[in-house]
Amino acid sequence: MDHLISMYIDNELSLDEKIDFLEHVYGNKPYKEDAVELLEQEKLLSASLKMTAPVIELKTPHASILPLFNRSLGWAVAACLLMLFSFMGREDVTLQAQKELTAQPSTVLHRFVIHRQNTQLVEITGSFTNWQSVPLLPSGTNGYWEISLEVPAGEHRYTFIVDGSKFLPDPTVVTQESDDFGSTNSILKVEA
Amino acid sequence: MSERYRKFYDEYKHKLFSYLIYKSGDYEASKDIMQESFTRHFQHYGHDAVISPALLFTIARNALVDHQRQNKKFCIAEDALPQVAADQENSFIAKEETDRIYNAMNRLPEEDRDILSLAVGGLVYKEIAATFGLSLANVKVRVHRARNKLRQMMKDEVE
Repeated sequence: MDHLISMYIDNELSLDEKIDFLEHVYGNKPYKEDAVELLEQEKLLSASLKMTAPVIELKTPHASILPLFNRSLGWAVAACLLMLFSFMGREDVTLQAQKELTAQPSTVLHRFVIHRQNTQLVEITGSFTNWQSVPLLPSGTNGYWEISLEVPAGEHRYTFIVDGSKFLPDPTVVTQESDDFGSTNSILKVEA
Repeated sequence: MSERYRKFYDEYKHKLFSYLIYKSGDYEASKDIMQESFTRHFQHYGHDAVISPALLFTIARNALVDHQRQNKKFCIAEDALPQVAADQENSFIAKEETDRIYNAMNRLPEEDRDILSLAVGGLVYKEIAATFGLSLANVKVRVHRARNKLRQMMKDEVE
């Protein structure tokens, strides 16, 4: 029962435990004194421990190289290539190069469907949503949920989230992969 | 970096830094380990369905063990201590109090200091349990036991 004091300090008490804690505080003077002493100690601890993190440079993969390449070197190389092809008088090659340089990543409209009855909310999260949760819409009243999303060509991982907490792989997709948290992601290959 | 991971970073950077400072007592080492830990965590787990703080703290603990193995010493760098008071007298008292609690924390058994640093730093019990591979019930008991030990040490020091 003593550990309820620490749980109180750390905001970890459930409602039932809060009742237990209050009954102990009001019914047991030494317990109350213990609680107050530990709270005083916590003020000191907290003031000395909670620190503002310094500014750090978070090194993400390619972050230091790719933007430079993309923005500066990439354009320079592209311009040189175009000039070279123009001088060579090969119109078809030039056009092809221009197309490649101006082409946007191709996407495909993909419809995701799942059947979950007695459910309030179904969401989808995956590499194509930047791992943001996107809610599906109920399709009729028979428990089907669906959404159509623009998915870039390539391989993607995703999962459904049922009622905000339960992760569920797509039952319609055979290829799956376990993650480190005991959940399973579905793997979707989209071809342009 | 995704917006999702940026939010995670903003939520946990102070907690991780506080933990590292109390564990190492070294501002520069804590800063380096924090940077290294977030980078590795993002590379390996930044795109997972659920971003796990427990894995971040596990990476940081391992990096800290490596660092301490190389340096073999706990020292409190002056610049690691927070600036708490404006005037000189209050500043002196606050510094003494801070030193007392740092010293007491430093004398706690390693495991108690580990768990208490995380709890005071604001990591929830569930995540502390996942970081150390303990049950939730065990964490509840250990956090409280560490607080009691610390109180006893502070009292012994005064007497």
